[in-house]
Formats: sequence, C-alpha cells, structure tokens
Amino acid sequence: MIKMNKGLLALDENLASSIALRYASRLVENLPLQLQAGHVEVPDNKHHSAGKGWVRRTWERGLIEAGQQAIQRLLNTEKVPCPFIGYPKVFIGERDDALLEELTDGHYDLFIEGNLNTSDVMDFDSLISSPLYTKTPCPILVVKNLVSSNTIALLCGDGVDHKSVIPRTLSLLSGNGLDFDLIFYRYMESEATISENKDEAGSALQEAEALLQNENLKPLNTQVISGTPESVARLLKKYKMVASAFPLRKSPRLELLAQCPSPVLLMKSAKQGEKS
Amino acid sequence: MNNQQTSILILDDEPIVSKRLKPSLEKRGYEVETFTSSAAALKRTHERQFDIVITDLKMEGLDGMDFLTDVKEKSPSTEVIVITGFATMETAKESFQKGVFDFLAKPFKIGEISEVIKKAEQKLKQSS
Amino acid sequence: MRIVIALDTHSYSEAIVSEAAKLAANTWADITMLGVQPSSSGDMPDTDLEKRLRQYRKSFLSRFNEGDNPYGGVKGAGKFTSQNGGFLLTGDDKENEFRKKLHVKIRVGDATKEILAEAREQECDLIIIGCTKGLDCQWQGEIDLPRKIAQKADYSVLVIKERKTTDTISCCLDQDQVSQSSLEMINQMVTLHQAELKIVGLTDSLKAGGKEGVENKMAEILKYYADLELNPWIKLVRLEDLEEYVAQASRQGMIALWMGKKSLLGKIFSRDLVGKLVNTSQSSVMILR
Repeated sequence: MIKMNKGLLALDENLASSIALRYASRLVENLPLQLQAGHVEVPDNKHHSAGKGWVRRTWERGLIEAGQQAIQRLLNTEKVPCPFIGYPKVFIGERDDALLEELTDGHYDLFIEGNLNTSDVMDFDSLISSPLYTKTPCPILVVKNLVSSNTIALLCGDGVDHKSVIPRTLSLLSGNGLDFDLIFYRYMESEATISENKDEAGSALQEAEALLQNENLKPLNTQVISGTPESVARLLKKYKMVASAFPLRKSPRLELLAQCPSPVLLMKSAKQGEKS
Repeated sequence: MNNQQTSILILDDEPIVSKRLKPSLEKRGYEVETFTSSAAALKRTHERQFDIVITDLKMEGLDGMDFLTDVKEKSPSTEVIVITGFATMETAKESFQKGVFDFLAKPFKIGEISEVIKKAEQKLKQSS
Repeated sequence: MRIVIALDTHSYSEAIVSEAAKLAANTWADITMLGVQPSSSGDMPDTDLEKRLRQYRKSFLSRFNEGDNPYGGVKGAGKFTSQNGGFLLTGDDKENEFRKKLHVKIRVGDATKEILAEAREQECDLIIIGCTKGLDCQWQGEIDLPRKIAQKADYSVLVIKERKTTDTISCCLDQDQVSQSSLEMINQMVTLHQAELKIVGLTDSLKAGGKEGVENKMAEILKYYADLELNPWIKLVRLEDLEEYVAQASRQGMIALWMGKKSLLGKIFSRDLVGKLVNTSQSSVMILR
C-alpha cells in the first residue's frame, strides 16, 4: 500500500507563492501527497500590541484574519484546483520560527515553498543556510518555476551519502507517471558541458545505480555531466524537479542548484537531521 | 445588406480586446456585440445573423476555426475576420480556405481593423 | 499588424529581409520596405538604393510559394514614382488584387527622422532594422542609428544585429507598465521561433519597493500566460548583473525590453541604454512598447 505523505505549502501573497501554488496543484496529481497551506503573519513592531488578555487576543485575531484574507486573495486570483487537508493555517511570529514549529509539531513529510530563480547565487546560499532550511526535519521543495515535464532528475555525485538520500527520495516521489534520470555531476571549468562515459564517475555512480535497482527502479537515462554550474543548470531546466542531497555551502553543487531554473528538492541525510 | 447599421460580432477570450474594439467601432456607427466564450457566441449566431464576425483563433472549448466554419456554413454571406495572437502560416492558409474575408495578426491598431471592416462592408454591399 | 522594415544597401539589410519575410509569412502583416537617401537630385531616386530595394522585394517575395502569397507576385519591374517628396515603387498590378500590402518606398532626408515619420504615417506596430556587428552598431554608415530609433519610436522596434537561432526570448521588465500590444508582439515572436519565453524581472538591490512592483506585474504576466496554458520561465536579475545576463542570454536568443515611462533602465544606463544593450547582445534586441 502506498503511503500518503503530508506536505506543508507555505504561501504568501506574492509571485513566488503563485508559482508554488500552481506547481503544487499539479504535483498532487502525480504523488500521494496531501497538502496543508500555511501562512505566517509577521507582526509589525510599530502596531504590535504588548498587551495581555482581551487586548492581545483581539490583536492576534486581527492578524489571523488579515492572513486568512491574504491567502484567500491568492487562492481566488490563481483559481487552481489544489485540494488542501483543511483550512489554511495562519501563524503569527517570525516566519522561520513559526514554520519550523509547525513542521516539527505537525510531522510533515515535505515542506514546499516558492522562491524565485535569481542572478545572484548568494540568494540561494542565504536561503539554504537559514534556520528554517538547516533545521527543517523533512525534505524541502523549492519551487522556482512551473515545469510541465514528468521526469525528475536525481542528482548524484562524489561525497554524497547516496545510501541515505536515494531511498528517502524514492519513498517521497514514488507516484504515478513520473520518470527518473540519474545525473552524476562533476565540476569542470569549461564553457560547454561535457557528457562523459559512465566509467568516469567511478564507484559513486555505481552505488547510486545499485540503490535504485534495490528499489526496482530503472532510470530512463544515466548521464555523467561535467561543466560549470551555470552551463549544467541550463540542461536541468527540462526536469519537473531536481532532487539532490542538501548541498554544502560554497560548493559547486550549491551553485548548480542555485542556478537551476527548475524546482529543487533538497534531501538531507540522516546525519543532517532529517527524520527517517 | 440594406442601409441599416452593419452588425458586428466580436469573439475573443481576452476581454481587453472587446473592451478596446467595442466603443471604438460603436463610435464609427456599427452595432457591436461582444463575447469572450465561443459557446455563447455560437449560440448567438444561431439566434441571429451578423454582417461581420471578428473572431480570435486560440480559445478554450470550441476554437476559432471551428466557430468560423460553423458561422460560414450557417450564414455564407457573413464576412469573417480572423484576429490571432499566435499566427502561423498554416492558420492563415486554413482561414482563407474556409472563406474568411481577412486575417489580422495581433497587435493591430484600430485604424487597421477599421479599414478591413470597411472593405468587408463594401463587399457586402456589392453582393446584396 | 503593420511592419516597417528599414533597409539600406549593406549586407545586414539583406539578412533581415529573410527574417522579416518569415514573420510576414506567419502574420500576413502589411509591409513597408523603406530606404532613405540623404538628398534628391530630381525625379529619380538613388540608383544603388533603388536597385537594392528591388532585390529585397524580390527576395522577400521568393520566400512565399505560389498560392500562399498574400502580397502577389512581381508583375513587371515597376517603377519608382515621386510621391510626397520621396519615391514609391508602383507596378501594373493593382493593390486590391492582393490581400496584403507590400510597399517599397524611398524617403529623402535624415534617416532617423524619416524612418520614424514613416512608422508614424503607417501607424505601424513594429519597425525592423539591422545594423553592423561591431560595437558602434551602424546603419547606413551612421553610428548608433538603431539605438536612436529604438529610443525615440512610439512603436516596438526589433534591432537585428546578428541572425542566430532563437531558442529563448528573454523579456526584461523593470517597471509595472506592460501594454497588451507588447504581449501580443512577444506572442508572435514566440510562435515564429517556437522559442521558450523567459520573463526577467530587473530588481534594484538598493530599492526594495521597486522589486515589489516588478514582481506584481510579473505575477500578472504569469497569470496571462497561465490562462493561455503557457508556462514562461521566471527569473529575477539584479540591475548590476544585467549586462552580464544580456551577454549570456543573447547567445541563446533574443533579448526584449519593456520600455515603460518609468523604466529604471534609463537611469542605470543613462542615455546609452539601448546602445549598450545592442552592443552587449550577440543577436537581436526588441524594444517593446
């Protein structure tokens, strides 16, 4: 029996959330995934009431209503059929703290949010080094664009804990009509990307292939690609999403995922603190 | 065609197109009805005959090509002007094979479509 | 759609004729092929320019098969007759015999002024112009003329610097004014090249407020395309990274710019905005209005 996963979709009233909402509405057609929408109202310090009792409750109720209205406006504008578990949840507080608390207490299997593809790699670096991303107990799907493809790229490489990451990825993404490509990426300073022989990837790729075989999964294609993050990222745009181990800061993999226009699924290894 | 107002039906699923064309054509003395749904426009063409039909091609449901085919079958004297945002050589050729009066790619200015409407009116007058 | 193609006697003009013919084959636009000569010494146009324009017309029409040609065939050589201080190619064929107009004209005077005047007269939707590949982007020997046209025109302008395969059309937005006709022009270009569309929001890292306006407009554009069941790519580029981005993106296709009145681009690149973009770009630049 296929396990139904539970995902938290963080929504704000902005472009990134519009994209994430549209993407999520298509994703639930492919995956056994139930979504809870969540929104954080960050209190404005100026009007923030330090009061207690009735005063504070009134203030909080006002914020929650404002948050509910913001999400409803987004849902009304987008008009996409995205089934949610219940009503959107509105939290009050700092965004990272509030979402982290919900992700921990709510035992979610996936966290989804929109984040636009930018020209500055440091934007993505800041994102993945934020408390929310470093402490989240589940995989994170960063939606940058809407991609119609049904093929997912599994990114492997030297130094990746494949044994931990691949089975987790597959348990999350085993759904209907999705195909996988196995991509072994290696940094190389070259204007053009180079597709290399599988032997060049050595034991790391063999390990990844064996793990897929254990799950009775045969990738559509297995490719060993060398090049700069910028050039390889362009090749990855054909995928519905690029699933990868959580990258190390300032690594070529981080740069590749930062420049990748497709959505990125970040999987942590057991050591990195993801619940198993 | 008699000396009554020339009747024009405009079908485009983008409301902004009708919003722009309707007042300007009415100002020029035409009787204009606008639709954003091809089903509703089709229903209307079954209720009454229009002198000129202006239709987009790419639409949800019944597309413009099917719509204009139906219009020409039902009312061969109606002159059809196709307007399209995604023009291809094939759609232009197919439109003319189906007997449309003219084919305009978007964007176009009011002056351009007005000229085409005038020519269509002349043709209607000559054939009546 | 009405298109004015500005043509001189250089080889880049020959190349843009075939590009324009492809667009015309899809859109069946009314076309004006325009040459400009600085002065006139009587009733006859410049011999070289006249000869070239005849060749361009022939080359343009050769792109159409018999039966698919809305502009009709070449009937006789035709002759340039004086008209409003310039010259118009007239033939034995009557215009009404054809579905669409193909005018060949020569205007006399300052090239920038005359091209803009013709565009205004025709109420055109697009001006197409070529230029040299170098940094100075010459047209008819005049440095930066395409930039001047692009800056001053009230219509969209396509500057074809070098013909390349257009896999992607990157449309840059730095303000919240996007006209319906500019979206329609992009749609025709995307259809013509079967290209991917990328909406690039330009953000000023120093101004947080501007980013919100750009993102809101991008959300509207995204919705417009979603309703058409199309998925453009979305990217944010900082203004300071724009030149690098244009250099890279133009290798894969065309760069387009929404030039609204509030454009920040004018500030960052000052008066040389379009010139810099045309210089940096390795292919075509379209200024959208």
